[in-house]
Parts: sequence; C-alpha cells; structure tokens
Amino acid sequence: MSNSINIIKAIFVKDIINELRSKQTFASMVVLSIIIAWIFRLASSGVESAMAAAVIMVSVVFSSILCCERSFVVEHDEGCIDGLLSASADRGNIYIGKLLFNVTMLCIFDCVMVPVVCVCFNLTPAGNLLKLIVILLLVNIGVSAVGTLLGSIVMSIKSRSSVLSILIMALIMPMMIPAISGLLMVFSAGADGGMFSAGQSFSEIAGMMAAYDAIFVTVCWLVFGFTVD
Amino acid sequence: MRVTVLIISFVLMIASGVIAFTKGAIEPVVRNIVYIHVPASICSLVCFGGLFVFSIMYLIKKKPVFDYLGAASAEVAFVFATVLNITGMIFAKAEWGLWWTPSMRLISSAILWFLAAAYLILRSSFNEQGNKANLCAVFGIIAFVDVPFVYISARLMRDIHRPSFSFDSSWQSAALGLAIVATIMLASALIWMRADIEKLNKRLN
Amino acid sequence: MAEENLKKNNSAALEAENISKSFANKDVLRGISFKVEAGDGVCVYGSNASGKTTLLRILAGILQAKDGTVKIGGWDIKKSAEKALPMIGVISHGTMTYPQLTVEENLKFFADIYNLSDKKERVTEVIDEMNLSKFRYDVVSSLSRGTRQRLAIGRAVLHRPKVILADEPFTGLDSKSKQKFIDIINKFKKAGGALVLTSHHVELAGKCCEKIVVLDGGKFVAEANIGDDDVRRFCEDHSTSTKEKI
Repeated sequence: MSNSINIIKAIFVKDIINELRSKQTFASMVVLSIIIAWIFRLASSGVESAMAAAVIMVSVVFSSILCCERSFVVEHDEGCIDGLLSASADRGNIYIGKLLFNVTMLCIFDCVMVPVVCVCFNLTPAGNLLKLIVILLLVNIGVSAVGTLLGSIVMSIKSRSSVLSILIMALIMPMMIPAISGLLMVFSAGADGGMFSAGQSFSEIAGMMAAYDAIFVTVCWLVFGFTVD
Repeated sequence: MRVTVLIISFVLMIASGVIAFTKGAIEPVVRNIVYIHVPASICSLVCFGGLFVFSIMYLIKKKPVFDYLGAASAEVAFVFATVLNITGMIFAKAEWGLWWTPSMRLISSAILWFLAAAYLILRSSFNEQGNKANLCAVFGIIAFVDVPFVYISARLMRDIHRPSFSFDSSWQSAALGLAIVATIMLASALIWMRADIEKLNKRLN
Repeated sequence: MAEENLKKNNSAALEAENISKSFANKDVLRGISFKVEAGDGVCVYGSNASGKTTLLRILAGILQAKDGTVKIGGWDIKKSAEKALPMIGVISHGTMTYPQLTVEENLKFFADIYNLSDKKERVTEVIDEMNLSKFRYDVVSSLSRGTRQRLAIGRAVLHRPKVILADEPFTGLDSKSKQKFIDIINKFKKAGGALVLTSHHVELAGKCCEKIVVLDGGKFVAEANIGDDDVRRFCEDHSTSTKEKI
C-alpha cells in the first residue's frame, strides 16, 4: 500500500517537474481557451450566462484532450513507459499517478480560464463561488478519468489527436448535461435555463456528477492495465 | 442456423406489418413509424449490452471470436441507433414541427449514436494491429458504462417525448411485440454473420 | 521455507519456458524456451519481425505472454512479480529517460519507482560508476547520444538487477560508445549478472555473449555457442539472404 503511494507520488511529482520545465502543455491549453472565449464573445451581445457556461465546458474538454494526450506522449517518446512497466507490476498505479497530474493541470488551468471567461462575458459568480468550484472540480475529475484512459488507448494510433477528441467527447456527454445546468445555476444566481426541467436542486446535480466520477475512476483504473499490455 | 433465424425474423416482421396495417393502424398515419422506432431503440440497447459482454469476455478469455462478436455488435448497434434517430426525427417533425430539440430521450438516443460511431472510428484508425483488440474491448466496456449515465443525466432536460404509447387495441400491442422480437432476432443474425465475415477476413490476410 | 530459498538460489538467472504470444489474433511467438545462467550472456538473433523484441518485452514483464512461464532467479514473473521484477534491468534503443529532467532527477525517479532503501547513495554511486558526475545537473535533452546511453545503462542497473535485457543496444552508437557499453556489460557479468540481448550484429554481440538463440518467424530455430564457425557462417548467409529479399 505505502509502496503504491510512493510510486503514484513519484509519477505525479515527475510529471509536474516535467511540465514546469517545458510549460508546453499548459501554454497551449490557456491560449486555446482564450481563443475559444473570444470567438464565442464575438457571437454574443453582452451578459450571457448560457453562453459562458458553454464556453467553460468547451474549454475544459478541449484542454483536457491536449493534457491527457501530452501526459502519455511524454512516456512513449523515449520508451519510458517500458521502464515503468518493467519496474512495477501494478499498472493501476500509473493510471492514478497520471490521473492526479491531469486533474491538477485542469484545476490550475481553470484558475486562469474561468476569470478570462467571466471578464469576457461580464459575469460575477461571486455569490456562488463555492458551487462553481465544486462543479469545476467534479468536471475535472470526470474528464480526466476518461481522458487518462483514452490517452493511453490512442497511443498506438498515428492520428491520435483527432481520434482522442472524438472518443473523449462521446464519453463525456453525460457529464456535460449536469455540468452545464449547474453552471447556469451559478451564473444566473439560481434561475433556471430554458430547456432544463425546473426543480433540480444543486445537490442533486453535484451528486450525479460525483457518481459519474466515482464509477469512471474505478472502471478506468481496473481496465487500464489492458491498454498497455 | 443463422439463416433460419434471419428467415424467421423476416416472417415475424411481415406478420407484424400486416397486423399493424390491417387491425392495428394508428391515426394519423405518420404515427405508425412507432412500429420501427420502438424496436430500433430497444435493439440498439441490446446490441450495446452485447458489446459490453463480448468485450469483457475477450479481455478474460483472449479468444479472437469475442473480438469479432464485439465489433459486430457495435456495427449493428450503430445501424439501429441510426434508424432510431432518423425515425425519431421524422416523427418529431410530424408531431411537434421540429426535427430536433434538446430533450431527454432525443439527447440520450443521440449520445447512443455518438458512442457507437466513436467505437467504429477507434476500430478503423489503427495502422498496426498490435493490441487493437484489447484497446477496442476496453473502449467497448467504458462506452457501455456510459449508457446508464446518459439516461440519468438526460432526466435533467425537459421532456417533450411521450413516455409510452397508449394503445387503443391489443392488436397494436401484438404488432409492436412481434416487431420487437423480430428486430432482436434480426440483430442477432446480423451480429452472427458480421462476426463470421470478420473471421474469414482475418483468415484471408 | 529455507528449502525453497535454497532451491531459488540454485535456479537459473532466467528461465523461459514455452513462451507464446499473439498480436491481433496472429501468432508472433510460438513455444520459445531457453535458459540463462548467472554470469552468462545470450544473444537473441533473428531478422526483422522474427519476434525478438516481443520476446524481450515479455521477459521484461512489459507484455504478458499468452502461454508459458518466465522465471527470474526462480520467481515466476506473473505470480510473484514483486520479487521477480526488481531483478530485471531493461535497456532499449529508446533511452527510457525523460528529456526535460536532469540526470539526477531521472535516476531519482526510477529509484522511487523501485522503492530502493538507499536512494541518495545509490544514485550517486551509479552516477560515479557511469562517469556522469560532470552532467549530474544537466537536463538529458542537452546530452550527447553516447552520454544518454550511459545514463540508460545506469538507469537499468540502478536497482542492482541480476539480469539485464537489452533490445538492440548498439543502434545509433559510435564505435567508442559501443566499446564502452561492452566494457560495462562485461563488468556486470563478471559480478554474477546475466545478460540477454537482441541484435543482428553477431560480431558485436560475440564480445559480451557466449550463446546465441536464433529465431525465425516467431519460432525457435537453433541454440549454439556464439564463437562457432557454423554460427558465423549461418548468420552471414542469413543476413545476405534477408537483404536480398528486401
């Protein structure tokens, strides 16, 4: 058990140092999200909480694609993944280490992206900051859980980025619906968006997302070994 | 054997059609699309179940036949999901005057189609064979795990879809029941045949 | 228990029995068996796509065999992986190091993964052994190919393995680095380590291996002493015939 924690920690710290040195992934994530926010802003007329919610989710999904792909490209470039696999029998540790790294990256990314979107769309989520953080954290975990597994799946494909984006987006749909309805609650201070059925409480939405996270982290952790074998 | 299944399914389908158009016709006429729409929706779910079971079997037993069966289930699921969505859209246009709108069942059947399409794209994008079968099986499993969440989360949307048809006569229920049985038999025959073709294909290479 | 340990001590450094593997439902390896004693070197020889890299990856525990068992120092690589895996060191043509990390960080990372008890001391020891002290705080991407290869060997011997598995270790090295590699490996063997390497350079392999195992199309063809004239002739014929095919 403590051995597993050591390995997970080593992988996590190594990935963070690696990213701090190159800054490649984080830079592209941020620039991409700013461009997305800017394009959506061109099509909107001012304060539009519905569009802001969409922009945030689109940014998170696209950035997670970049992040999850990079996190495995680093391992495959010089064959490091073979070194890891021949060192430890439990493949699940590699998955958890990578998952933690991807969640951390997305959380740091959110700290930059959400203010940018709020500035773009003249929004002040101040009253609902806690709810916003809860939703973003749950989204990050869910997207990374799926993305980390899929990142490993697409490594042997040549056009991996395009395939990865399709796979992640198809699987993440059930997460998008509660996340967007939750964000609408945050930005429009409780008032519900038009197409969502009324009467859903915030805790119900958060619970739905937490269940998704829990089940996908577990299932992906269990099957991860097959993707590297 | 599979040809027998295929023939029986055709016979049942014709029978259901005859019943539907003689004794069980629904007014207005466009609503009769339900005899295709409902079986297709049930069938695509059944095929997803097949994909899940065969993927797990492949990962445990590592027998190629489960890989072929999984791929075949995904293809058939894709076909039925396409039928489901297209008939649904025709129906929606006739009933509510729009092709598509974000609503619970419409969203979940669209996502079902996305998942099947994503599986097929993943399957066709490997340039070297490597552990393709493993990777596809893994995706098949998590795609199926996704399905219940699709239905749970879609409950957040306002639903304009009617929950189920209230039938006037037992003839209509009989026609629908026959159609469902026939379509499921058709799907299994298709999966069977598709898996065989895949097997022969491998032997050729 | 004591008896079992005694048995383990007497068993071969590496024992592969009846290894089979298939990719995409196609057989890549069929029933490969061989044994390497401590202090011995074995070269796995074969043309491209003969399955030698796959074999090595199975021996290293990276891939799982469809059939057959691999035993490292008497421990089964599947059933008692936590005992068997630390006895293996892997070298391949990729250096298995992270380009953005320094030499020290790379070694420290793998020391963490292997959970060594004396991380700091061992890392310093390996850096000195491999003549890398000058580059200790340099990021790997700034090093030359030969230096990186030394780091790769250092990474492989970091956890004091009993067996080294090297996949095409000579590719992309100049003759000086090749000689250096052979020297390090021979030192390792003298200390009681075993070596399995894949190469289609029989002459180079002959400098650090005693035996040769020939594979063709995933099947075992022959096992012989590497110095034999027959072997040399066979491999020369083989390499020209494969060249002609291409």
